[in-house]
Formats: sequence, C-alpha cells, structure tokens
Amino acid sequence: MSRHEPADEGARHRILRAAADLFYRQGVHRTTSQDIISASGTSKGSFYHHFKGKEAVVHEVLKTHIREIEDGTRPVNFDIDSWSELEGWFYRHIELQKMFNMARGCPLGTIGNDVTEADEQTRQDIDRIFALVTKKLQFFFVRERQRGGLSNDADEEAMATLCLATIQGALLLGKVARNCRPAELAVNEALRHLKSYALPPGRADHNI
Amino acid sequence: MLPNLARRTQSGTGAFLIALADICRILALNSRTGVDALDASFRYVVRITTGTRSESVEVTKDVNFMQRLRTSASQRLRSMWRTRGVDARFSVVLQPRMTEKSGRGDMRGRDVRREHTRLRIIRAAANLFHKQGIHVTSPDDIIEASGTGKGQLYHYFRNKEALVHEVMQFHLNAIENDTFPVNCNVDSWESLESWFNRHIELLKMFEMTRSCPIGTIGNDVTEKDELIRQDVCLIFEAMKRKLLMFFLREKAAGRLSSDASEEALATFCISTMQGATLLGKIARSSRPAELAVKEAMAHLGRYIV
Repeated sequence: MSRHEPADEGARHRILRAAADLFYRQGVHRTTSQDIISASGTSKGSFYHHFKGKEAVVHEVLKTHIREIEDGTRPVNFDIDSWSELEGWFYRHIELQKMFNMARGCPLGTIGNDVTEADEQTRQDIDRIFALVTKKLQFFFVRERQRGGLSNDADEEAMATLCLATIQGALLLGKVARNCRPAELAVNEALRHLKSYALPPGRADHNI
Repeated sequence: MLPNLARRTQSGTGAFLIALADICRILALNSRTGVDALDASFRYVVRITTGTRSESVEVTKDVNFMQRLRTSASQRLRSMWRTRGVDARFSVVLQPRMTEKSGRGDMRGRDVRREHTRLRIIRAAANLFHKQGIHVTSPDDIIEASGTGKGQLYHYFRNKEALVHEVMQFHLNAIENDTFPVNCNVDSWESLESWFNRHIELLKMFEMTRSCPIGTIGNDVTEKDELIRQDVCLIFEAMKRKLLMFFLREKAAGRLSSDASEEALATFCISTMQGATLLGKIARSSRPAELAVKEAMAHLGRYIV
C-alpha cells in the first residue's frame, strides 16, 4: 500500500459521511458540492478526485445505505424475527428522530421526497432500498406464516408495504409537527393492525 | 354557490376533470367575495397545452359558465388526446380576457385583473413546488411558468418565503372549502375510501412522478424554515380535523368500536397516505401505494360495528 492511499480513503470516507448527514438534514437539492467539501474538511481537488460531482456522491451515499441494511449495521435493525422486533423496528425510527429533536425525517425518505424527474439515478437507488426493506419485512411475515403464526387472510407483501408507508408518513408528520405524538399514534395503529394477523400462541407451534 | 361549484366538478372522473377542478379552485378562491365578483364583462380563456401544442377555449361568465367550460374544455382535450395519445401531458390555464365593455378606468375590472395575476403566480408556484419542491424552484422559474414579470412577482410577494406562505394558504383554504384536489370532507366509509383512492388517482395523473403536494413541501422543510413548517403543520391539522370529525360522528352514531381512538385513526390515515404516495413516486408505480391503502382500509374496517 502506498503512503497516501489510506489518507485518500479517509477523505473519501469523510466526504461520504458529511454528505449523508447534510442530505439527511436538508435534502439533496439544498446541499451543494461546496457544502459537502466544507463540512467534510476536504478540498475541492480531493472531492473531484473521488467523485465526478454531487450526483456521484448521492449514488455512493445510497450504496452505503444499502450495504448497511444488508450487513445489519444501520442504526435500525431490519432483520426482524419476532413481533417485538417489528415493534422495535418502528419505535427505533422514532427514537432516532427524537435524537435530532424531531427536526429531521427519515434519511431515505428525505432523499426520496427530494427526487424530481431529473434525478432518475437517485430514484432508482431509493427504489432499490425500499424494495430491499420491504423484502426484509415481508420475509418476517412469510416466516411467521410458515411457523403457523399468521392468519390465512394476511397478505405478507401488503403488510410489509404498510409498515414502510406508515413509518415514512409518521416520520414526516413528526418532523412537521416537531412532536413525536402523531408519529407514535400512527405507528401504534399500524402495529395494532399487523398484530391482529398474528394467531394466538396456543395455535402457533412456537413462542412469539 | 361555491360549494356547489366544487361538488359539480368533483363528481366527474378523468384527469382533465381534475385540472378543471383546479380552475374551480381558483375561481372559488378568487377573492374574498368569491366567484360572483368575477366581472361578467370578462371572458375567460382556458388554454390547454400538451407538449408544444396549445389550444384555447373561450367562455363568457354567465349562469352556465362552469357547465360550458367543462364541456368545451373536455371536448378539446379529448381531441388532443386522440392525436397525441392519452399520455400527453397537459396544463390548463385560466386567464381573463378583456372585452370592449371593460374600459381602462374600470376600477373593479382592474382589481379583478390584479387578483388574477396574483393567483396566476400562486398557482404556477404551487405547481412547481409540487413538481420539484421549494428549494429547487427559483423565482425565475415561477416568473417563467406564470408568464409574469419580475416586477409583478415582487409587487405581489415580498420574497420567496412570502410566496410559499401564500401557496400554503391557498392549499389550506382549498382544504377548508373542500376544493382541494382530494376532498377531505369525509362523511361515509365509502368517501373515506375515495379519499385514499383520490390521492392515488392524483399520483397517476402525474404519471407517478410526484407525491402529495403538501408532503413534498413538508419534506423540504429544514430547521431554517420555521414559518413554512408551521404552515404545513396547519394544513395537516386541518386535514386531520376533517377525518377526525367523521370518526367522531361514526362513534356517536354507534357505528365505530368504542376502543377506537378517533385521533389515532385520523393520524394513521394521513400518515399511511403520505408514505404511500412517497412509495408510489419512488417506484413510479401505483402498486405499493395501492397495497398500503388496502391494508389501511382493512384495518379501519375492523373498527366498524
């Protein structure tokens, strides 16, 4: 390994981390390349050495999101194996929002909402992430059914989609109200609904 | 008079009717005095633009104004769709055209014109904010889209923030007066279902490239946009109140389970719908939005006694 390679990688990493935070806070469109350069403490030269432009940074940031979801290293756990973990998945989102004083929405939803017709690459990236999250949630419901813990009239894909839709909307309402109450109300209703598909433990062949 | 106008346009289906409903919204909100303040000496031009082609329909305001406007505009639109295909995009612009009767010294006419210019700017801005959010939209974009001048924009609005505020007032009024593209005045389980479905129809009208106009602005809000945040918050509150009223009435009538929290249900509806429109926009497909709505309705249905 050459002497300046680790430093280079460090700069790239710093740029991505600063960009992710800025996108989370104010969306993609409001963030300029210069904002990212300043926030990451790198130079213009270093920025353009690693990335063609802002679009390339957005793409890399979203790729990092996907990798973290797949590796299970995101602040929110997407590998759900029980109803209480599903509950945790919902509440963890709101907890994170509270950490930012209810001033931010979902990091992915914020970028997703920002997408216009001119941002096709970003839309596809977010689409991939949403599909991955839906798949992970759906996987839990499918497994519950295999374990005999899910009612016959449950539609696993629709349930997973509801989870994602409700949490996205809940985080938006929470952010706009600067208050976790609407988010919690919405999430509790969604959970109440989802759990209504769960069969009582007596009828399931395992303990929930 | 105003609610009638609104209801008549909402009874129809099809994308062009949504656009026309939009016109009614402008008319209804034209001024505090409402539609009747529109001077009969003005003729109204509806310009329908698809791609590069543009056609106009002219009508004079009289008793059957809305009826004729709707008929002739939709005929024109259908013929354009035949030539350009149903996926042709269109925009409908309503503008007053002066006739010989209204002279320069006509104060009333001038007031009407001023109001029209102001509304043209608000409407163009609302459309751009819906399409691409607040931050991407520059004053020049709004000037170009509304066909006004820089002087006019800053004559009517102090700055962009003031304009955003006016756009939010426009949406808020529309919700309060039931002239919002999605009717929030829910009075039955069927109309609650159409409240959900209407959001999806609206998404389809924009070929799944936009989400909810309010949500888009809400998402755009950062810590620096406190005034806009409060505006969005008020709109969500107004929407919630309308849904809440329905659940309260249902419970009072004994048709809603006693363990239902009306506020939680109303919040759940808005939250899920906001998320559903986002998923639809990102997937460029109505399917995820429809799935989420199906589950939400299944949930709400369980509270029916």
